[in-house]
Amino acid sequence: MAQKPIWTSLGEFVTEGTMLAVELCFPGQSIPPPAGETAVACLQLDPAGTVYCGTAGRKAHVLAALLRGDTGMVFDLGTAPGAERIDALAVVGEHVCALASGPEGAAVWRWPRMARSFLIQEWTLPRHPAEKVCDVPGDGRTAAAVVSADAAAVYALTEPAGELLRIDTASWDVEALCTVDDEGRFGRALALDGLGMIWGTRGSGVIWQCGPGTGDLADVAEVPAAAGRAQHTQVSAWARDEGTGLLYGGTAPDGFLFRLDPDTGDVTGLGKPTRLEQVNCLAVGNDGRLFGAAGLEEDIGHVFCHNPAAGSLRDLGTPVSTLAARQYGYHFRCMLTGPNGEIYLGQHERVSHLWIYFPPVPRRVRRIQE
Amino acid sequence: MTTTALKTSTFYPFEREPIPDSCWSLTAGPDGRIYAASCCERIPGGGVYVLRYDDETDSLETVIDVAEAAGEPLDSGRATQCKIHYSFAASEGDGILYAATHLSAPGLGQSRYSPWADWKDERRAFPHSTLVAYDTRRDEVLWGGPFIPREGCRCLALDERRGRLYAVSYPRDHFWVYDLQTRAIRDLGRLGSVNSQAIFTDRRGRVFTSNCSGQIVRYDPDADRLEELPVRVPHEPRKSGWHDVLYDVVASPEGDCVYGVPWNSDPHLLRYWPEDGPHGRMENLGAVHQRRDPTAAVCFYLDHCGGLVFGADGALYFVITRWPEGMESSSPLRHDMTSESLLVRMDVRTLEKTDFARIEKPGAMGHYVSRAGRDRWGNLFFGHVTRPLPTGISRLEMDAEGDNLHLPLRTWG
Repeated sequence: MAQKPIWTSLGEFVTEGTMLAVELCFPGQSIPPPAGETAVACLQLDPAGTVYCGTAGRKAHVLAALLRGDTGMVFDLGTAPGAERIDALAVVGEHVCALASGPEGAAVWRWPRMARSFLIQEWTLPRHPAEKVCDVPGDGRTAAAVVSADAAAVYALTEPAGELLRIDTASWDVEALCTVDDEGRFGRALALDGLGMIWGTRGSGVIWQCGPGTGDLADVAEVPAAAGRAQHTQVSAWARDEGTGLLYGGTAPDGFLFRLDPDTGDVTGLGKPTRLEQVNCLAVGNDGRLFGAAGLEEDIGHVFCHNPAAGSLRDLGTPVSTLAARQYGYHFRCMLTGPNGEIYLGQHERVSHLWIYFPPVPRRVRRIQE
Repeated sequence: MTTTALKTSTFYPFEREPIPDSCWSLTAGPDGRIYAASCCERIPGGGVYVLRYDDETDSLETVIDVAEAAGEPLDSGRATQCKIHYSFAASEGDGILYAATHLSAPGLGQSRYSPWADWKDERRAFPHSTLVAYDTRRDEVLWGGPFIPREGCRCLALDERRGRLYAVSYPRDHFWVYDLQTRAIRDLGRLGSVNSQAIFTDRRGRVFTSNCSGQIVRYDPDADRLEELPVRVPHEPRKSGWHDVLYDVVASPEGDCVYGVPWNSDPHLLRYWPEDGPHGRMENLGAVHQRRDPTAAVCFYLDHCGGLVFGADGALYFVITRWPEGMESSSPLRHDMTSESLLVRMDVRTLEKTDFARIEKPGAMGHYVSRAGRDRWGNLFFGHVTRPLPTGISRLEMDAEGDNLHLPLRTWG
């Protein structure tokens, strides 16, 4: 048995583009929230470029990441009292609002939005108390939530009942639209299409859609699944391509990827992007490439890319950051595309960072003169 | 620093086939004899064996074939139970020596293994760390079985009173709690990215390790909670503290404080009083090595300190390297004797240090000492990692008087 050197990587870490892990603090000035409270559960983008992060753990924080220009820090806006998870974030007027859940129930809390510049020196960063906006009926657990494009409504799916709620962000009235599955078999992810229709899955991999005002639920299509596995399959992540209007879905427990045309209900399987079980989150980049993260909480997760223009599907590897914080990233639950096409990834571990992925910009192909 | 005539150690090679390439763990057993891990970290299909120094025959004997104890043949094709990495834990009460395995060797027939790339590959991946309980009174393996699923055990500590083992896993760097009665293990979550190489307990049964920023992390068994403390492993001011994870930690004979070093270049010796105040009190006892070119990223295999052990005389001993000036930026992995491996004796009351002995391997430097132990006669032993082969352990005669001089027993790896 010959000895061979083994201390080299095998291409298992992200192989294209650049990953950065950003500490959840003002580097050198503050420390992140305690470990065990920093698992990033949801992200939201402010028109001013601030990326808000909602966390899960012993306490649920809302963090404001100002990472552009002369800023470069993450500010802890505070915790949602009594909550253990921020389920969704919405920028409504001058506030960032958080749907938060915990043993004491679910509620919406809000803070003034955070938009600053010139934080390279001499800053003033006041912290404001959380303001409760409304209670959310139910038993306090939210399986999934999605915010309408105009932030006029938050749609939340309760757990275990599977009741779809509409939270009006003007009146803060909460309306029960429907129950998506009487037996409690439904996907823990929601999507909105360009018309504001709500999409999800239930039962044996059935894709439903629901009108935002009516609560009328209609079964539209079936989720692509391994043969005989439809009964176990739900969509665990959605993303919408604003350019084409198409929806992308990733599944649990088998981790397949598909495309859904919301106008026709046509579903196209795109394959299995990694060898891991579950797709956790998806985001469509500015150029139409789809990025995603896969893997269970117990896993060493991977990120992947589907390029619809090339028809390619590629496992990009395990996130690792050697600039900014030197970290491995193993489990991600949420993803967001930034204004410049950068992809934000919410790490969901006991010790977590906000990650930024800068996908590679393809080199132009030189045209050869005939 | 004072210098006297240096003692010299005796080297005992690991003589097996395939030739083991490292000794990542060494400890005094509950019986006062020295146990060492004969590891094959780079050998496809290589396995780990636990050897014991027989002080009557002055030789090494194999006491545990871990593959056999675990019921996992080395030719399975999966990454093997190839080493024990800072994961011996001795129980004085019942005479059991616990050992948990670590990963890195490819399966037989494989040329490469990556715990990241091969994760959950049911034909290639490391299935789990294995825990073996060896009864040193009856000289037999009591039981062995799965420990940490899919990951290796980087370091291990025993709380005998609560009947628990604590561990840090690799590569995910999670903190684990194992109940010896139910043989159930719990994952308490992630610590960081680079493993701490040491985990230890205080007299109250609280558990300490570090994250990759050199921050001390404490587990309180009463609150069942991990907490990052505002306490840092000391380091050079010009460095950030990143990678200053704990490397080797030894308890004072009184048990009221620990001495340790980080796993990083430019290591500083530390003394930590875990029961002093709400977060304990950390002391920086200074750099253990010479000044060097700060623009060079020095190889850890050169700028290394390990093998911390208290002698029967109450002094602290640890192994350092001394190298020709400038060597750190030229050829740090030269397998010759241009660098010295020195055992330093420190009076912990005055902090005075003395070069005490040279820890050598035949024809090679032996300064990457992983762990050290003190046997029942007060003699000191050191586990070697550096190449070339063979690797093995060194023994240093200490001329101590009395027996049962291995006590108090070290209960972590």
